[in-house]
Amino acid sequence: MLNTLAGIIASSGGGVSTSYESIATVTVGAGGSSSVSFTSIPSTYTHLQLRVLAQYNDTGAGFGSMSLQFNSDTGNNYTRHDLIGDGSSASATGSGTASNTSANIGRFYFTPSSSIFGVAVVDILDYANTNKYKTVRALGGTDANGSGEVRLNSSVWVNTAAISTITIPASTYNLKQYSQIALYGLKG
Amino acid sequence: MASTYTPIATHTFNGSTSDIEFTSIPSTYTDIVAVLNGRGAYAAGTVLIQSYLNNDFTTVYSMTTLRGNGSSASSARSTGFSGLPLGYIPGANATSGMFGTIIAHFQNYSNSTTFKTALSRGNNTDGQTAAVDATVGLYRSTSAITRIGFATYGVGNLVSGSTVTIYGVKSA
Repeated sequence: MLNTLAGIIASSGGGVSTSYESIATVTVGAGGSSSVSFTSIPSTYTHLQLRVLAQYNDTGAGFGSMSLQFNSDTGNNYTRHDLIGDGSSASATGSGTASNTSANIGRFYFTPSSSIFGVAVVDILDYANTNKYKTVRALGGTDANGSGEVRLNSSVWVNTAAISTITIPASTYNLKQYSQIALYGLKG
Repeated sequence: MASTYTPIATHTFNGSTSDIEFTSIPSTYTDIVAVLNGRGAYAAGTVLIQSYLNNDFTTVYSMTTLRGNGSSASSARSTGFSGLPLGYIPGANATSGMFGTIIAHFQNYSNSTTFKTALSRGNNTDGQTAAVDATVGLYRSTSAITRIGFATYGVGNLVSGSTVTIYGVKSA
């Protein structure tokens, strides 16, 4: 038995800080979704954060990769570095050169019938700064009770343009119902 | 503008307990983020912190973790746990004054459709048994989470001054 802190100490509704704001949320419906896009992202924040709950839909079982593209850039303009723990060993992959068509933010579980969803928290730093390439940092993973992985991902979009569109492009698999991607803005 | 990232409750340990549980967590947020800064009183270099959801102590928890200890990186997996391992903080044998930080994300905690997945990062830099770890954990229940407990794994109290705060993150 745990020592219980009954009820709520601090007000759950009285905070008025607006430095962390919800911009938009996509929740995948019954038909699934091949891709997700956030468009017309205001430039008034300092950083962006994506909070992801996802599962892919496929007849087998395994993991599918999720990635981001900015401003509809599908060219080889992204670097990637991944640090991966698969439950038995740690490994690293990546390239410091802009040789990828998207920024990797993790891998998510798929199976025909499962309640197991992977999660990720993705930070996009100084997204509206036109003097910098854009850095993406992600922590994510899926534990499937005997399988799974946890990842730290880092990517750079080699472009100084302000980010106004974020796309999770279509992959081999569709996002399953109840997957949710929420975009937040942080003011500095 | 409605608050999006809201402190829900906080607890400061006085050194006489090994755990605390937050109850009556409102269902109105999307995610819960917990920030723990603590040190264990047990005579070891590090102490594992676990989370218990909905007062459930059955073996419905599992996790996959990634760890770096300054000389090597490793990964491990556990199934059939009776709690959700979040990460390590310094124990009594760590350098005096050292506290560790664990930040845990309980995503979409209030839905009644999916199992609950938590993501945590721990930092335990004490110059002796330091490590950084990232962990993904699974609570095999579709129930909405209304109670979250934090405790040392099996041994020892949390020292006075250790804190844990839970925040609610609300999406549009």
